[in-house]
Amino acid sequence: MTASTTLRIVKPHSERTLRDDLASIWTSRELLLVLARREISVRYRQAAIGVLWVVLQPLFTTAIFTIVFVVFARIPNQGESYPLFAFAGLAIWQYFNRAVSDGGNSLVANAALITKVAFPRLIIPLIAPVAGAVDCLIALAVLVIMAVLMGAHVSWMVVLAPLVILAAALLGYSIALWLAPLNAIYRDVGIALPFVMQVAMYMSPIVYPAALVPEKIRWLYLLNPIAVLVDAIRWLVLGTEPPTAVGFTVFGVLTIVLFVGGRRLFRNMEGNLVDRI
Amino acid sequence: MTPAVEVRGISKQYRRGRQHHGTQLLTRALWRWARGGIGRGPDRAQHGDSEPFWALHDVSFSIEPGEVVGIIGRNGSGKSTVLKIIAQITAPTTGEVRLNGRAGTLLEVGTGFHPELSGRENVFLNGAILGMSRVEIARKFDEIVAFSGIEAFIDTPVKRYSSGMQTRLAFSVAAHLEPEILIVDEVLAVGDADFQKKCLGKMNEVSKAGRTVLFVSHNMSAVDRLCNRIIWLDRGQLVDDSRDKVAVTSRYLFGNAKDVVNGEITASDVPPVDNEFFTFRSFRVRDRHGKTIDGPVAANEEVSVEIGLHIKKLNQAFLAGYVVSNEEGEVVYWAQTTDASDGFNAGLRTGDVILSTRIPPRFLNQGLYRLDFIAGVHHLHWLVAPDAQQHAIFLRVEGGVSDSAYWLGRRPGVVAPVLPWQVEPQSTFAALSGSF
Repeated sequence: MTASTTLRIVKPHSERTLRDDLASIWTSRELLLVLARREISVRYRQAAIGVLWVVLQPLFTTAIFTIVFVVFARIPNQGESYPLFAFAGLAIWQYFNRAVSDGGNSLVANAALITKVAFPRLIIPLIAPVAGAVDCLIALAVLVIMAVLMGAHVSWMVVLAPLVILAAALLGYSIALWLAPLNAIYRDVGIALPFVMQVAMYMSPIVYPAALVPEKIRWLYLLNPIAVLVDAIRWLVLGTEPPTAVGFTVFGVLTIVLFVGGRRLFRNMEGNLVDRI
Repeated sequence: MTPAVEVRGISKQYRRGRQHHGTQLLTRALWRWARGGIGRGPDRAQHGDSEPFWALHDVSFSIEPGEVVGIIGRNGSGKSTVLKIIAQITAPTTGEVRLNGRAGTLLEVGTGFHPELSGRENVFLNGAILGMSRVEIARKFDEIVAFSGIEAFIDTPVKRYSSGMQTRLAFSVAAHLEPEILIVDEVLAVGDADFQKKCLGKMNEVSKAGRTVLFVSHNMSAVDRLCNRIIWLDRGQLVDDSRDKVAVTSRYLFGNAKDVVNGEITASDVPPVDNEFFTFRSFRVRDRHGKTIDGPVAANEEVSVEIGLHIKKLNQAFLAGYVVSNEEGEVVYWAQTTDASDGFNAGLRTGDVILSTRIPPRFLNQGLYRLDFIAGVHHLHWLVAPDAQQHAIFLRVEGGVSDSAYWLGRRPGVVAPVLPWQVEPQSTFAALSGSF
């Protein structure tokens, strides 16, 4: 190794540019993958049926909602089968939820690492979305199998589904960039988060169709980035209506704004984190 | 030559105050932010209930490749902060550090070890965390495992390992890290003596290979043995930076005690020790008439060391005592109430007590000694750590080292006991058997 290639300059975090940050995430991708692998292998290591949980969790949830909404509440049929509709929504929602919740808790959960080793802290909230992507892909595969078994038409566009996972990861990561440092110092963030996420779930057309919402406030749903994710996955896999252009735009702008702001907050707070976590 | 580590005017500001500890209310913080702008680094300290203080103030030094540098200083001197900044764990408030070469940090063994994962998985995990690439770890894997000596259990989850096995595996990973700059915290040097030796041996090896070592320690004899240069920090500022280790060590431990021998401190001389077990009252050395010693004392005089405490709460594992160090910074011995097997604490009562022990005559050599009061709870934590360096008294031993006509002054050696000699005529049989 020559001296010039290994020169590192440690300076106040506030002097770091976005470019520096992105470069540091890229150079530590190997560590990110190792940490994500740790997350995955630990998660199902001691469970008797191991990785089957990845499939069972959304299946059971879908079954419950099917009973509640179809058998008890008798919601109007939307043209596609409710279990497929709900499973698609739940698969991407659970992924997004994990990216935000685990990502938001990630600095606290990895406090031991942060106080002892140097590596770009920005990769810590990325561990959850990277590790969760595997689960989500498996769930989507199950969705496709279910759709085929139930005789539904599966569009070729299903191959684009990973893009929706990527979009969910970016949005989830951007939100986690705000939550993770805040939660490290104000633990009430972590306590309030599950509640907020539950509210967010019922405010999005995940287990019920947007058509059930009164016409007057339906436009609000178009601005809901979670609704965009859910609609996009149903569109690609089940061939339903695609999200609107407005929805995509809102999603994109919101993600960028949240990322830029979150990265700033993260950068400004991370210097003090080690001393306060 | 380009320096391996160049520290340029780094300062680090912390805030003392309530918000330093644990969590706080988000609403209050939001209010403060609304007034002061979101997350504005150090100047946030201006508002609210905390006062800023500088853990480091404008510290600069540069280290050439291959140097082994010890950073010393009392608790709170900023030495760990310097280490954490160089290790890039925390950022400086101002200033910058330039590192020429890959830096490996060992602040803890086995960082990131996960109990559910096997030894093999943890080697890769820990290696990646310490900065090794996957290829590099794979290449050294067999060597790492062989060094740890736990080949048979490498696929067993680490939670089934004994703590000794975990430490061995973790240390092997760390030992195979090949940084150009090795940053080691003293915490590493705790653990059993064997492990310490391995640790220090490894550091020696690293420096012999021409790599740079930065070692933060309050163990003056380890610093003395390992380092060829000492940087001394006090209250966040650089006090001394020298290759003359003996001079620095002596100045560090004894300060101006060489002129004034202070054989007594009382509660009013030192900040209170925050703990539930005792209140510190006094610490002094007395001669055999009970008078506090404030001048030189002859080696053949009996000296008693007295620790006055107000015991608030009894605990079987509680210990009090003192550490004696000489001018070279070597620890001459430790004495603590739990040294003997007889359960000294059983006799302890709450209230004011004087714990005293005797330094036998003709034990200490001629010279200046420093006695540091220590207290703690075994297996738990220090209440007054050996390096706290606040409860120090001094003792000057002069003359009386021996009755012999041949030794008038200081004798060679750390201690100078006068041991009784006996002479016996050797029997023919013993002489014969001795020659075989």
